[in-house]
Amino acid sequence: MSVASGVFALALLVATGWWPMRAFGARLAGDGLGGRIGLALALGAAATGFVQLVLSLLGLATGWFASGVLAVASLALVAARVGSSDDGRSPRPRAEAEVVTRARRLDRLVIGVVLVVACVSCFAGVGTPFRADGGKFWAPRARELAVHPVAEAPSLVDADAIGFHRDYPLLVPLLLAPVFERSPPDATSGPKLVLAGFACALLLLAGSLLLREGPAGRLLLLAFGTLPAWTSLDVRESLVAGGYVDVPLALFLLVLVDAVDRVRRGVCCAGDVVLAAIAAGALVATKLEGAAELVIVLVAWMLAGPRRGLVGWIVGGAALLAVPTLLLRGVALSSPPIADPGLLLDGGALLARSLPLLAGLAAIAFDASVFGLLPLLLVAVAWRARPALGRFVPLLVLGMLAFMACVYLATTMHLGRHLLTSAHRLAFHGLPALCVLVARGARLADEPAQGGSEDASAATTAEGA
Amino acid sequence: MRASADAILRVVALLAACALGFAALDVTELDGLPGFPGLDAWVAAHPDPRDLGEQGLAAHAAERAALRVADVHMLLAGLSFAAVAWALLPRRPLRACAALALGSAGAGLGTTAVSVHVQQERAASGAWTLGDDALVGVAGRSLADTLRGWRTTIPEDATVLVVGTQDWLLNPVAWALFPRRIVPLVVPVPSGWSAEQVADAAATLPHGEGTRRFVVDLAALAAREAAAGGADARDDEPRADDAPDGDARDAGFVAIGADGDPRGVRDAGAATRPALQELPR
Repeated sequence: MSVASGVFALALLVATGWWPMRAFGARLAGDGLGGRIGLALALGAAATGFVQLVLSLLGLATGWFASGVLAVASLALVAARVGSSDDGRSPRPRAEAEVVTRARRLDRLVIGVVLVVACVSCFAGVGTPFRADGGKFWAPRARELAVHPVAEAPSLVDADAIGFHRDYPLLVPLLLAPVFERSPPDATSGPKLVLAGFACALLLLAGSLLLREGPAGRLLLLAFGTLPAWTSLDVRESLVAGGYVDVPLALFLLVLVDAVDRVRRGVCCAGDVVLAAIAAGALVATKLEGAAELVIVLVAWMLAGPRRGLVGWIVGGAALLAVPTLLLRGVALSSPPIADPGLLLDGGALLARSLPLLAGLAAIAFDASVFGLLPLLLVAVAWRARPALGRFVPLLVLGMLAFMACVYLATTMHLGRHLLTSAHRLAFHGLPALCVLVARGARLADEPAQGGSEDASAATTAEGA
Repeated sequence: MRASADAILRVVALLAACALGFAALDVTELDGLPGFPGLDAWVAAHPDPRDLGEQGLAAHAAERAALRVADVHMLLAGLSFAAVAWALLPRRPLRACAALALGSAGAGLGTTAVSVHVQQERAASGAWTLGDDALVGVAGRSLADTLRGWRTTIPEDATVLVVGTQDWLLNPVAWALFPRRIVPLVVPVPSGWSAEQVADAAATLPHGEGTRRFVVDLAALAAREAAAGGADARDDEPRADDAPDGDARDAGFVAIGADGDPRGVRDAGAATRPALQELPR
């Protein structure tokens, strides 16, 4: 019953996102069905989450009605061919198709391996209940929101009742709430299936993007798609077992960064700006860290250029979509802060935390039980790709590292415990986007004489200017 | 000349793969591995502003040491796969990258195989299920049975005060008793207290007045679980907001000599107390 509800919820999310995917993201999603489903799920989740949050703020418990209406509306728009004049497909000439046969065989092999891992990952996620923060507040909040609107949810507004991180955004719990509503009291497999669906969407979209980037993209997909964290059942190491919402955040960040990269390189259409704005709004509505990561992406873009004038459109769209989340902060009780900025000015605290922080962050790159050898591979590919990376990617990486450093230097928890329980998930947020950017840089660096480098040279020229 | 040099390098890579593979196997025999040189001395000289306490720090250090074993094992195994791949791959521009990718995939597929095995084991014990009852997975079998019983005892409109610092039991209790109003009071129950003392102290608390009220004693529940050999459903994430509740402190739950004992069960009195009591109106 619960699994069936989860399947139905995923189908509704994909259906909801299908029209926006065709209207705004056909280029990003690419030719393959996998990329399209992945992007449609991300956009459907964003749209459904925003509407559910608004309805919940208006006093309605979260149910299926909004999801159903959105899905039907999206499919109706697709059927009416509204806004889908460019379906993004680019038929490959016959001669080129023959040349790439060997590459296609390798692609299929990699896809096969990643699908096996994804399948096991789904079972690892769906078959295990929520744990740690998943069991502490993500799932309980979703269960509450299926019964109460946000203004009446005990964990948000009752100071005595159990409730952790009351100020966390609610996009993902609102997507899980209808599944909980249709599940028996002790069932977790349906809601976990929705989260596993996000993991599959991330793999599909990252795979679709990486396979377009040639051999380096294929290698990065192989390493990313077989990360030990996909199938591990240990809560610290797993992307799926605990029931956290870091994978949806990584999915939205991937959409945002890829759309921004297209805009920067001038290979975009207006749809990419819309996509970036939707993904930016979804980041803010998913986790507190999402807002910081949005700022990092936009600041990196502002510093690296070009086409900085379009940043305003994305900020405006994201701000509009973030309004319900900001209103939510006015409804819910405040929580004890998870960071104390005063610690950033405390010499003693900085001294005590500096070396453990450096050691902890350095160790993440070698924590092969979580990330395999992917960090080392990323460095190796980035070294080859450095002529085409420009300033955007290094600024992005520096921004992410600076953010992590600030979070942990100012944490109100014991630094070692906080690093142990969250650093890998925080580092994972930007990993898929970084893989795509680095693979793209490697392709552009390896193909200087081909048309594919036009966008790179345009970007680097504009950066120089 | 170049071909022979390449052949020598391939042999060296295979030898390195063997050495790394054996080292990966050897590492698994260890109970723990030390951290970065000098780090422990630095931490001892400059304690973190948020102190874990001596016991907590020791537990944290032991956990880190054990996790390092898993990380180093996987790193060595991945590098071993990568060295084999490098030795077997033809000379191409992305040869080193391909070797790293294949090494990473080897480590990932190894974890996948282990995951399948563990999922099978958990399915046999009821902790892994695609069905509609995951309470055994949430709480372990013996605790799940206890919690199911409590659901029949506690009406849905009741308030449940939860005392004790065994926070690894708090999540399962809150999960199983949804949608009842759970009021967590993360305070230690003084060692040696009787059931009556717990109930009397809880009855003076203002939370949930006007409703039927129950008190869950996590220390007693932990003692029962330990006696039953229940599954360890511990949750290793410390909360940022676990300051003791002022009302509970006033009610005497934090007494001199009281021992917050989140992991072990050292309170002999806890084993004799009921874990659930209804409070008088």
